[in-house]
Amino acid sequence: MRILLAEQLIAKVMGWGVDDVSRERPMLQAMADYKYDSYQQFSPGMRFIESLALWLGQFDTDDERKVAYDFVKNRLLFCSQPEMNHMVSMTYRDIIKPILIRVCAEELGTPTYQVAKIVNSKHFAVLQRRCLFLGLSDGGKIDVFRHCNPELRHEQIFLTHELTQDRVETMVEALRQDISAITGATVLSEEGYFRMIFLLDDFAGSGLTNLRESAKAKDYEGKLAKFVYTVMGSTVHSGTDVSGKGTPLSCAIRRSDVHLGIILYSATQQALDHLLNQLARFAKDESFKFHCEAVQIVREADKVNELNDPKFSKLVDSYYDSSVHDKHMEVGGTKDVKRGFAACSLPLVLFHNTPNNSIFLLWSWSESTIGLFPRVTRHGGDA
Amino acid sequence: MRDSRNPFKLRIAEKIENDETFLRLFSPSILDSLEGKDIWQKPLFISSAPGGGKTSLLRLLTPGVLKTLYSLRSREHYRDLAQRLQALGAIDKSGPLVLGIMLRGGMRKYRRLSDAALYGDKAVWTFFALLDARIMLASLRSLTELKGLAYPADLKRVYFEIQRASDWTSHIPVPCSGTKLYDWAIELERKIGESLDPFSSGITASSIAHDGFESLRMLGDCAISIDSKPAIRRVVVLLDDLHELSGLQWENLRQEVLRIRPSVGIWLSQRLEAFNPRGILSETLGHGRDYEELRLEEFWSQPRAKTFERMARNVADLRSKNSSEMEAAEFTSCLSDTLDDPEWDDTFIKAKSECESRLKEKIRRNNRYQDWLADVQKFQGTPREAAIRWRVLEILISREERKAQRAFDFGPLSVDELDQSEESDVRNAAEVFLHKECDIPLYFGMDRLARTASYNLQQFLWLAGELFEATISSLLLKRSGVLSPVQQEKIVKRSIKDEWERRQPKFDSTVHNLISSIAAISREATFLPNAPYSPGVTGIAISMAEVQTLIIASNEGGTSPYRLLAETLSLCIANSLLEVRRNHQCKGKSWMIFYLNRMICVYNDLPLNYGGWREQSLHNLLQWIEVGYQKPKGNGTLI
Repeated sequence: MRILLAEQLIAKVMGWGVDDVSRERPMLQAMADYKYDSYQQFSPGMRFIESLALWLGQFDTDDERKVAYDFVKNRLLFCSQPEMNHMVSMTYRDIIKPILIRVCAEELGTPTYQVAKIVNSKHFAVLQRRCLFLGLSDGGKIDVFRHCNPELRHEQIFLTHELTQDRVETMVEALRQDISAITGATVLSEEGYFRMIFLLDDFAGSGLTNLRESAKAKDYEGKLAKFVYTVMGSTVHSGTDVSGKGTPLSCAIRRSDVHLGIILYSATQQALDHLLNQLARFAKDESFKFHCEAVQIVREADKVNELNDPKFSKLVDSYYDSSVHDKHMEVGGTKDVKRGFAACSLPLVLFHNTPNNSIFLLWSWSESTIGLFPRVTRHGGDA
Repeated sequence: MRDSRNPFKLRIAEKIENDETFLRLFSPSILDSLEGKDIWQKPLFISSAPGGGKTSLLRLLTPGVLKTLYSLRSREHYRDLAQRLQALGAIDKSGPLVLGIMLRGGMRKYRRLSDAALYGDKAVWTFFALLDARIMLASLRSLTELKGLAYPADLKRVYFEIQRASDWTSHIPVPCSGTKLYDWAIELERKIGESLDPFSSGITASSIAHDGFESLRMLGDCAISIDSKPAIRRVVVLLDDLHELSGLQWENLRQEVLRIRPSVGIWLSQRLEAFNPRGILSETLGHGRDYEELRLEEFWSQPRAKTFERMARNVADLRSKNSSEMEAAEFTSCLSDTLDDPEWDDTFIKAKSECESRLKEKIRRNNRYQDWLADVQKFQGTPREAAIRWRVLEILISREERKAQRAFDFGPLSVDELDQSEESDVRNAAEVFLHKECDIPLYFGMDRLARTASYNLQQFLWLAGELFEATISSLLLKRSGVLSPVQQEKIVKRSIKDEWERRQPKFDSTVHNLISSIAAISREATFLPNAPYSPGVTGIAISMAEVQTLIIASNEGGTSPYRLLAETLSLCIANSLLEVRRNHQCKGKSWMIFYLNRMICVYNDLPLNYGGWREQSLHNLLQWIEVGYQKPKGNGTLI
């Protein structure tokens, strides 16, 4: 019954007649059922159609409402849970395994096209076992990753890099035993270490959260920088914060023989370019090898701008609440977040939370401006 | 259980997964098509255009559906269907009596076996071998489902015993248990699969091929028991989508089925397909002694008290009752079917006045029609009836003018002669003329909606679905849920236009030219002032002798232009652009009539009635498919 009321409200707000309702309603219901109702940050009892009705109702004129509605129909990108899971399921086989094949090929001196030979070699089996897969954040979907890849061992997949000493010791011991089983030779304790560390995350909009140069020379900030400094240890700086010796996981790697892989299930081209650029310098400074890939890239052409959507861009500029702009948003380098963090201008919603890189009108949680898919911010920051 | 906004969108039997939903939406009237047919002892060949209802008929006999219906038989909604199936012998008080064995997953995958390079002359027999294996597995699965056994764990409780002595040898290892039969079928299937890769296996077609379609004979000759008790009374094998087989496979299957004369039922359903002109254009396969045939559209088109309209109405009401947004309302009541509302009075009064003025001017100096004019002027009726009456008069006068010129008979006409001439066909023609001249709706109401479907259930559900969507949209906006004639016609015309424009790019120029030519000539003939083919022309006809010419050309292949014409006609029929009526007797000859799909009639503002057609020569049709219809050059004849 509530859905009927919401549909009546939309029809009233949009000034629809019978023909319009006949045309639009099947599509709206289909999209709501298929994806949009699954958004996890709607308030209790709220569903997509009601949210849409309230969202459209905030615009002042019929033209604005029509522009906003057309945006939702034609340009909104929504990544549902099944779609995210699909990207996670593809990650090892389609993204990470080719990386291992390339590394293995180089080490064996075998052409990369001899895939069967490489994959069937003991060297590959050992390299695969020496991989460690860690969640870079909650979005790493490690549970799904684990279930999708039965060829990987439990002891090489973890939710986070902040592991206890006991845990690390167990996983290193398991590693030694498995390598011994593969090679048929005893593995000495100093040979029990991981060579390939893959950090998994769900999304990067600008890449700034993961890695950015700080004001200090040759210093970096962000989740990746923190990992390198605390777990791997800096070769440039000194100090306990960057020694890599304070964390249990540090004992499971060899600083001189480690590859760091950053794998994003989805990312903008902007974020990917930024990370590749920053990592090239960072890795050179800190002397480690890196790999950076995304399973699904959000195209530049999908962004909202004056060229591809001038009318909606005008709405984006007109409807805003400046109170949301805080110090975390300032990291993006813009004076407002009408077009999202770092002006990414994305029309993107993720099923579990709208990224703040998307346009403000999509994720607003403020009272003065209604967001279509309101975002829940993380405690202590939203960058 | 109501969870669908618009149940008319649930169109394809295969997509309705839940058996109860399927039964709830199934109209018992469809079973009328099986009346008088021996469906358990003779092969039954079922054909129709896509969406005709073939798969629904077959699915009705599957174990899940029969069991569900049996459990729901006492509920009012299902009583009629249960009683009809009981009358057919499919269920009784004890439960389902029929083991329906349906192969799932389509027939397309069997085409691979027709690769002569792989199988040579054993291609067809390898096909039969795989069919046998699949039918055996399907029969075991269906039996366990029907009897509530575990599959395949409980197959050891099943036994196949030879009941009828026969002199044929079979590769099927009967008598045997269900487990042994299962193992045999799985092994055979595996061998056939491996034989598809002759480089890596030593299995050849020779080692797996059968001599014939053995599973049918086996099912007919064996008694099936479970725990040593008879398990089932009747068996029927249900083969759907046979148009997906290769031409040779289908022909061999058909011949083998007729040759074997199995003592089990077998229903074979196929869509009318493009690349079988002979099958589409030819006489019926013949029926009676050896097999039965059911061409669904031809069944519905028989004059049997508007059978299809009744069935469509039933289907529509069933569906609307299952909507989450219609409170037990009948869909029929949502479609206004009258123009006798006051809002139309002015339009009809104006139409009548214009007609009256035309006529008075026309016959000003001619007293031949004075009595007719006086009689119509006295008419007391609604504005609509008056407008129709005047328009009828105009048509009749036009006819008389032509007759008088030929017969030189210019004497006055009596009112009795007027009454004799006013047949329903002329009234219908008058409505069609008024529709065109005064923009008065023609395509509205339940009966006309059913007629627009061209006896195709899927087409009906599509159009009804569009109207239903408008009805519930209207209710959402708190307006009346009854659609006016104008609204109905607008929705139907728009939907048809969109659909036609969507489908058009799929057809090449020959199809376009043929259909547009038939439409053009139909319009010209329909809107002649004297309406000679009232209520209108909606098709063309060729003699049955010329049909044979097309069939011969199609069989011989080569570059005969008639071959292209045969293929074009077949394509139009298979894609429901044309409807066929065979062996129509007229003027001492037999004709094959090709009616436009009623949807195309609406697109061209033609009437929905059947009966009006124009004979054409093959030469004309050839011209049409090449260059389209050319308007006649003033000699009065239509080419």
